[in-house]
Amino acid sequence: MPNLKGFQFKTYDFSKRLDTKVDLIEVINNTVAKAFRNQPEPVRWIFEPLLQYIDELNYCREHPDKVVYRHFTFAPEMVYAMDCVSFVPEALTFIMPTEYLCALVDEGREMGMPDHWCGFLGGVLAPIMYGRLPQPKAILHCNQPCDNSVAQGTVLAESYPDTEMFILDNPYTDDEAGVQFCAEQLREGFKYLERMTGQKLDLDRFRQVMKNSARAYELIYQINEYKKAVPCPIPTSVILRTTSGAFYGLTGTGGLVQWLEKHLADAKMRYEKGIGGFRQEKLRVVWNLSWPVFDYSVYDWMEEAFGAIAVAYHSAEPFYQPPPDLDYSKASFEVLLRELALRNNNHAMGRQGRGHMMTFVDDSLKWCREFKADAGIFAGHWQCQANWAAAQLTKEKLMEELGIPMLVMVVDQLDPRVVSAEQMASRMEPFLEMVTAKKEGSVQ
Amino acid sequence: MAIVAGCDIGSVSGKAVLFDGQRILASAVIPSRPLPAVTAEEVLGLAAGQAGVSPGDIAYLVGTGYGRVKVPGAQKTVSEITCHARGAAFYNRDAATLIDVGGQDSKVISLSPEGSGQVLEFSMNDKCAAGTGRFLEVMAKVFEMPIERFGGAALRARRCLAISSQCTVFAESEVVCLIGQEKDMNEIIAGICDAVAARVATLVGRVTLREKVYMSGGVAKNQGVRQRLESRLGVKIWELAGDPLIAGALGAALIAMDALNKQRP
Ligand code: SF4
Repeated sequence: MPNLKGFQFKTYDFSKRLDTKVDLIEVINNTVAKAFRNQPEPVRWIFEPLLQYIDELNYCREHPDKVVYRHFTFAPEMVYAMDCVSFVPEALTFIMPTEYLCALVDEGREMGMPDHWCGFLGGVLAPIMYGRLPQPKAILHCNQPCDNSVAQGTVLAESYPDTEMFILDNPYTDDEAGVQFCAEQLREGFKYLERMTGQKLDLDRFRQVMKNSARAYELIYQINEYKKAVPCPIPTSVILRTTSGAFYGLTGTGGLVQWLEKHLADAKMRYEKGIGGFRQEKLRVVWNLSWPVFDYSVYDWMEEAFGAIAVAYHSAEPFYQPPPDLDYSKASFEVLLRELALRNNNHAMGRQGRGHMMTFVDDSLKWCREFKADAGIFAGHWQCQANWAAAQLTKEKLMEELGIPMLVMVVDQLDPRVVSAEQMASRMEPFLEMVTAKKEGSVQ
Repeated sequence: MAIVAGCDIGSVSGKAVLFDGQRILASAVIPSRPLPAVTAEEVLGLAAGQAGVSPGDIAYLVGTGYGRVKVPGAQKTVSEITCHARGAAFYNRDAATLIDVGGQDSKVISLSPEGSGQVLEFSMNDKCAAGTGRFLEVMAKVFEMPIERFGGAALRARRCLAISSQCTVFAESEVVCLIGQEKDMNEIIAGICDAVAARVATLVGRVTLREKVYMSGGVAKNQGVRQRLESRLGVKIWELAGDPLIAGALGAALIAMDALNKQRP
């Protein structure tokens, strides 16, 4: 029976203002990276993509000529094809300790950052403006998924006046014209990167990166087949924490392929043995927009109190499917460019932030249907404007077509001062009680 | 005969209901003390005293309300939404929509048609004092008038003055301003009740409104808010057959009885 009693959510000490004028990558090395490396053997593999990304951050410090800032919705394959390192400033906010994030958000506010900036972007504003991050050789930005992010482009342009920016105008449509529209811009993007980095694109390297990327997509599709099983063999923490993180930042790397191979083997083994990701799965939930990352104990609470597991995080699920018969070792630049455009148009968070509202709604339906969800949870920052426009319609469609309810709530993914884990739980509690009663066909 | 209890610890008051499977044996309501556990102990003791039993005779106890996790001896906790729905359906099986406006929050619950008290959907406001009893309380202080007289005053008004501020703090200044302009007191109060009704109506808009519509929570007793809400929603809002204030505690007691029955061989 649901019970909040005795459940301890994470607590924070905000009494001391942390010194934010520090090397953030070093902070990450000394805190989260250590914690990931110290995980017990059976679960350490789960954190490998995050460690791979932290390694890339460190590489940036040592190889300033390789640093390309990449907007989080930009497919990373392009950067890897140029033998550069993809540095996503927001990724720092994602992995840094919450106390630092909050101190940085406060510093940003003191500099005049508006209140409506989310922690995801707001946490790196001060480090960018004060030049505390590795200097970029090139900056890839784009016009989505929200106005905050567009405004951050201005901040980048003003903070690095000597670094010309490349801004991708993401297409509205999903048809061939939309793919071509993107491909032509990416062609210019390669020329831009060649000019900024002084390096020529190596076609063989591009082929290898695209091959790695295609393999990663194939693997994630296979893993997703296991996620459809009841009980779902993959733990919530893997689904939310690492799979999505990996898909935001590492497609095109060999490291991601290796990790996904392990992930698939683990899912297969658990599936064959009938082991669920949680010992007693009762409810399956799809997170329809973002999901809070500042306190994973909220997911533990969902499991302990309701047997509610997460089966998908909509904004990081793959929509690009590689063509099965493409021989990457011989593919021409034009073929690769088109594939890259397709990936870019479907990139995590990019797809969800562009185009027709029904894309978001239909995608929500797709994942809830395929992963046999009992409920959806739409949790987002109030400034994720375009997505909020789709919230009510998504809720209605899920009920109409699948008969499942969706909870809508405001959260900041990273800043617990906006909505705490406890506040989230008090919203989710009646909702999950309702879903439980509906599923069991009984009244509480 | 087994006795079960539900204890609803809200921000403004603590409520307890003792139930024997057929009928309500006793109920009590007290103002909330600073510590939820103290409120729970006191209100349960009071209800038990009324029923002529001791708290130790309670075979199963369910806690609800914002202080639910602090109810000493509660075997389980259940959210207010679920409890209010059960309590309302016990009073009135034909309840299809329940509007609960409490001291600190408000919620609208859509109930299953067969009268079981199952929740179909809900919306809630727990972030902002406007649209809750707290808003009325603040305004009652401005008028130095007991809150119980607010509803009657609103009904006596010939028209309703608009309070445009959504925020309690700004609305308070607006009301002070209207008083300063020597506007009719009843008309200002009607405006205040309408402001609460407007916020609640927005919440109602987030669920499918089905009749019959009932109201629970402390504000249900305020005729002024009820009437303004009826006119905004264009439906009749019915009074629950029992005390709306204890609907949550009653629901908790009903859930306690279910749980006890499940435990029995
Ligand atoms: S979409 Fe939302 S969470 Fe993402 S950057 Fe924009 S405001 Fe922040």
